[in-house]
Amino acid sequence: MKLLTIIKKNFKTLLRTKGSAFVTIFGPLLVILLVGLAFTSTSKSDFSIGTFAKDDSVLSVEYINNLKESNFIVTEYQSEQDCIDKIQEGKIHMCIVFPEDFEIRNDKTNEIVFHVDNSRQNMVYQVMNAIDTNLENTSISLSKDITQTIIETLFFIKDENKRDISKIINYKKDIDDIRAGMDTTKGQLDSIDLTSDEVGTEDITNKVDVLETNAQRLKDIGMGVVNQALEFADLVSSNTSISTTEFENQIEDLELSLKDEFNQTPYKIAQLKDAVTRTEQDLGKIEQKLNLAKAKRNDVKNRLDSLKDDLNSLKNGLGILQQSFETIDSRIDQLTITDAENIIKPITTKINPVASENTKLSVLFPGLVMLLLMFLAVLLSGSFVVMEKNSRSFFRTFTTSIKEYYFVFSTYLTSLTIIIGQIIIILLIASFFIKGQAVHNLPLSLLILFLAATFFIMLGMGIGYLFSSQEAVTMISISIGSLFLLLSDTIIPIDTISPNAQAIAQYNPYVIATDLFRKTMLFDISIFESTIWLNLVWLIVYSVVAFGIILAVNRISTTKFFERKHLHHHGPTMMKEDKNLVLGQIVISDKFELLDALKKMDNNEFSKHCYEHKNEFSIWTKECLGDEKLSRMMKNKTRYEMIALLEQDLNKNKEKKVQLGTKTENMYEEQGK
Amino acid sequence: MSEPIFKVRNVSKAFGKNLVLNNISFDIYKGEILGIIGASGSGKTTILNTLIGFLKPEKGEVLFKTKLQPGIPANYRSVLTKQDTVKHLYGFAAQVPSFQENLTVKENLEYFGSLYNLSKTAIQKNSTILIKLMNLQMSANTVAKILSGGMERRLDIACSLIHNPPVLILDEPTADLDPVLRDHIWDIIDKINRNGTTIVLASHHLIELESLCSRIAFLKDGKILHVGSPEELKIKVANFQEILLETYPGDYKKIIENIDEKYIMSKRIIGNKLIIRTKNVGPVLKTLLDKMQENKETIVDINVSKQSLDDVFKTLTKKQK
Repeated sequence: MKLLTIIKKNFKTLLRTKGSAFVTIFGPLLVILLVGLAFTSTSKSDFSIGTFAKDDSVLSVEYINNLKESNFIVTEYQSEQDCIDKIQEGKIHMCIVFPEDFEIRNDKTNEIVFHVDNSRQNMVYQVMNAIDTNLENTSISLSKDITQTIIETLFFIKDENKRDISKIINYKKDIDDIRAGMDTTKGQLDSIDLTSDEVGTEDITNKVDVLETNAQRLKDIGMGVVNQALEFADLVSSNTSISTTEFENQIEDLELSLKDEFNQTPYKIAQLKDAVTRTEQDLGKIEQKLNLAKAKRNDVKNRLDSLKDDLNSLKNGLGILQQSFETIDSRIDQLTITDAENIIKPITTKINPVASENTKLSVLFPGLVMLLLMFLAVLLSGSFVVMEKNSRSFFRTFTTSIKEYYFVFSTYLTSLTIIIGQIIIILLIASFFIKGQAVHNLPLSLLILFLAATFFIMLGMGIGYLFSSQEAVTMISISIGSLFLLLSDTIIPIDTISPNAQAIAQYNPYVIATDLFRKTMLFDISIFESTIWLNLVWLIVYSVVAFGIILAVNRISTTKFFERKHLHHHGPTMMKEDKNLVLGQIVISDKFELLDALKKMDNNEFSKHCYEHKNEFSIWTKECLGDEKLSRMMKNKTRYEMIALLEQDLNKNKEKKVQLGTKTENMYEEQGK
Repeated sequence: MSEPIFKVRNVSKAFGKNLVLNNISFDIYKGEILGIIGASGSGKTTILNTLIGFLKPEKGEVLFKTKLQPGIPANYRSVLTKQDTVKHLYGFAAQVPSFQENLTVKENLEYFGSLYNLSKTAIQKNSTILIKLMNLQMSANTVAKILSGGMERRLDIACSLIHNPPVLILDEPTADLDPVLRDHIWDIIDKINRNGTTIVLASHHLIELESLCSRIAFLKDGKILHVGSPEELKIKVANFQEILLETYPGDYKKIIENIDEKYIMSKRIIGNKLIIRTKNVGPVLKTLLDKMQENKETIVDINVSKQSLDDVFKTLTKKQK
């Protein structure tokens, strides 16, 4: 009954504070609706891009066309400065300046300059991201052409290589043949007999002498024969009637011929001897020539050997060349990827969502819901607590006999009710925006949301009990929420933060809750899976611990309320009807006494009466003394400044009084006269 | 006098090094209106809060009278031991009205009645009575935050009384109210008291307390200087009268220069007024009138005031000074 009354009161309080009610109830719904509208589309956002190209090169035109085809709003400018100015004016998000003579050449580096407004970082990175994709496509297209050419050249080289290897093999065979020919030649050279037998001219001379002797003997014999023939003829003639005259004549002719021949023999012998001598000389020359031929043959043989060595070297060289060509060939053969597109982009990414949804919202949704839940729960519960604490009813509530935990429970239940209501609406909105099934395991999802809400409500309440102003609660809540957010995957991937932070992050309740909720939303997962129930236990532990702390903090907070109340209640008290200002033991009734008191009090005492925007002396001066002007002047003044002011004011009054007195005296004097 | 319903015995309370209550003792009796008067910081609010156990004294104790059993002497228990019972004993209206700003007058009463665990019937009955008593019928369904200062104060008192407590504690019940509203509040307090509710209140409106309170406790520097009925205090402490004089042209130096100093307790010129405190009004007034005539001063205003509680208070505080 009491609990219900307090919850009812909380709702009435919330609903009757229109601003808070709107922000609390409709704020998150509006956020989720806007996010839903923003992220439900998969189409690329339109960005305004300015471009400047000094000349309309094919590449720049192609690039600009690509941008236009990619739904960018492209405006071409006539000067770079104009383009940059438009960024400053906020008319375009980025200015792209293409290099002059934009073409792919070896001797040219093409640098596309992007002018961006760094003060709009988020926008810049979104645009950069979108442009990068576009630029990447154009670059890939260019690279693809270049790579295709390189690959074709490579295969041309390969074919040429093959032909060259065949030639080398032929050359090597030729070399072998040449070498064999050379060996044969060498053999043939070796087989040429350039030796000469010793020709004995003495033997010839001796033989000539013998011949001379023999010729003599032959002459002698002939002569003897002739003589015998003559004798025979004489005998015949003498003995016979046969004339022997002719015979004798013939013999005589023969004798004469014999004698002639014989007489010529020494001459001929001499001639023969000369011939032998000449032959000896010729033979010497022939021997010399044969010796020369021998030397030449040896020289040729040596040359042939040298040539063989050279041919060997050549063959070896050709072998190495062949090996190189074969290596090149083999290397080229080893190129398994020869498709230009595959070389440029060896890995193509295709994201296959495990869940069936295809919008960004479906992926963002769990984190987004948890994010909203966290901030909503922390801020809402914190606000409830601080509203209650700062409400005028806090004191009265304390005077009643109700137990403090009723308020803890009621705040918790009120916050939980609002959050549950909002979550239901958010889930309904989500089911509208998210195609397919929004939540796979509804009971588990609700349990996770309940536990997460419980923890974050407790956290918010804790902050509310610890801090007394709404501003402080809001700031601390946002700070803690941001800390949870930073130590999570929501802003930056958790793997990219330091190991220590990662270690802490795994115990981050927001991370735990988001992870759990994401799993149950996107996948049909069971509570009995270890990762689920373990994290659920963590959430329960967090909530229970937070609840315990809340009860303790609530107790302390209430006690402190009275302590603070009393500590701050030591200012002066105005007694309007008597126009007295009571400062502890001193009762002040006019400016003189105030001046005196100000002079006597120390700065500490002074600060008890003049703090922040409150100035008790100024108020008293206005309300009790009716001196508004002095009161205004006393505002925001130090003790000494206030003393000076009072002295000045009192002196002025004194002067007035003196003047008034003199006037009166004069008046009476005149009357007397 | 009957047995007290609250006994404050040798209570000392400090906040840090600041000793706010210094060994104070007094009693509260059924049906009385006890006024506690003191300068700011003298410990009035601390007394009230200690009285009902909101604050725990460093020394001494506050005892409340438990239900009497016939034939058994009154039994007292510390307010700190039985907070639930004590909280039903009193209603407390602090300096700043305390209620739910976003609830209507009626809803406020129902809400706080509910927190006291009253039945719906009792809440309805008490609400109706209190709304009538506080003259809030026209504003019963008005959201509290748009009530005027006087209405806020009345609602606050009504909320304090929703559980029909035997004791009503009021801390500065008429602070920041105009004289008409103040009178209205005092009337209400008087009515409540007439209905049998004991009232303990702290206030600076000494003149009004004078006529309302059965007893008054003067508090100074955490000590009770005097406790007693207004008349007792006046007899005991203050025995002078104050002459307020305004003349034209107002050369008060000449007027007072020949007055016998033995008659004058103090003389002050505030603005264009002369204020003289004296135990012998007659001779002083005669001298003043003579001097005025002599100096051709024209009387603009003259007033002789009797001693009030304010005078008693000032006398007491100045004595200390």
